[in-house]
Amino acid sequence: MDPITQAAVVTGTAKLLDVALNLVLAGFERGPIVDKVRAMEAEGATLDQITDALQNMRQESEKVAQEKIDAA
Amino acid sequence: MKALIPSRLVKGFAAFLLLTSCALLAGCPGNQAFRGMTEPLHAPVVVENEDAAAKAYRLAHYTLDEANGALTAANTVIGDNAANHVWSKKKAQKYLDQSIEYGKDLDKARKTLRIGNIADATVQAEAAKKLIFALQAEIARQAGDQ
Repeated sequence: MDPITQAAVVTGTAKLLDVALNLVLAGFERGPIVDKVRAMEAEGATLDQITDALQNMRQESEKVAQEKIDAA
Repeated sequence: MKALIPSRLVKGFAAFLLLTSCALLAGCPGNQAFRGMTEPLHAPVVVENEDAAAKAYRLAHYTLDEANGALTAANTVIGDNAANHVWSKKKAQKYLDQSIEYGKDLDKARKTLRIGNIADATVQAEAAKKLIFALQAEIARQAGDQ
């Protein structure tokens, strides 16, 4: 394999692995949300209560992400 | 190139190892990632004698919840990528601004559902969900780029 092809393969593989890593990270972040919803369901929460909780969680995550960006 | 290969390959290889090893080990924390990537937020339910309106109402909530959950996960990745200097502030801000815009769409859909307009709320939430999942895919594709 010539050096240019090798470099292209390495870069392409690294990119794919990066994508895999971010998907895993997103999965890690979503896992606790699944747990929270299942716990609320088990406690008998209404659909409105669950939706409101998730909406609040999302709005809070926007603030946290903004703070992290500002601090970076 | 030498400086580039180790960090990216090591990071990616770690993800690969995590994925494969956690497929074999029950109870491993990595299963959280598998659950997060594959399971719906709501447990599957069989509701007896559920009429069409009640089902539509439930599914509208599910759609909103999935979209809110996806944005929450995306926001965390965006914030972490900025904090860890994986992305520039400009890039992280661009994705967060996009995410906040989609969040506003979800807030509108939530208000529509609250006043009882299930059909419109579902359409609004589904439209936002498609954009949100596209944003998630874009964020994953942008990993490691400055």
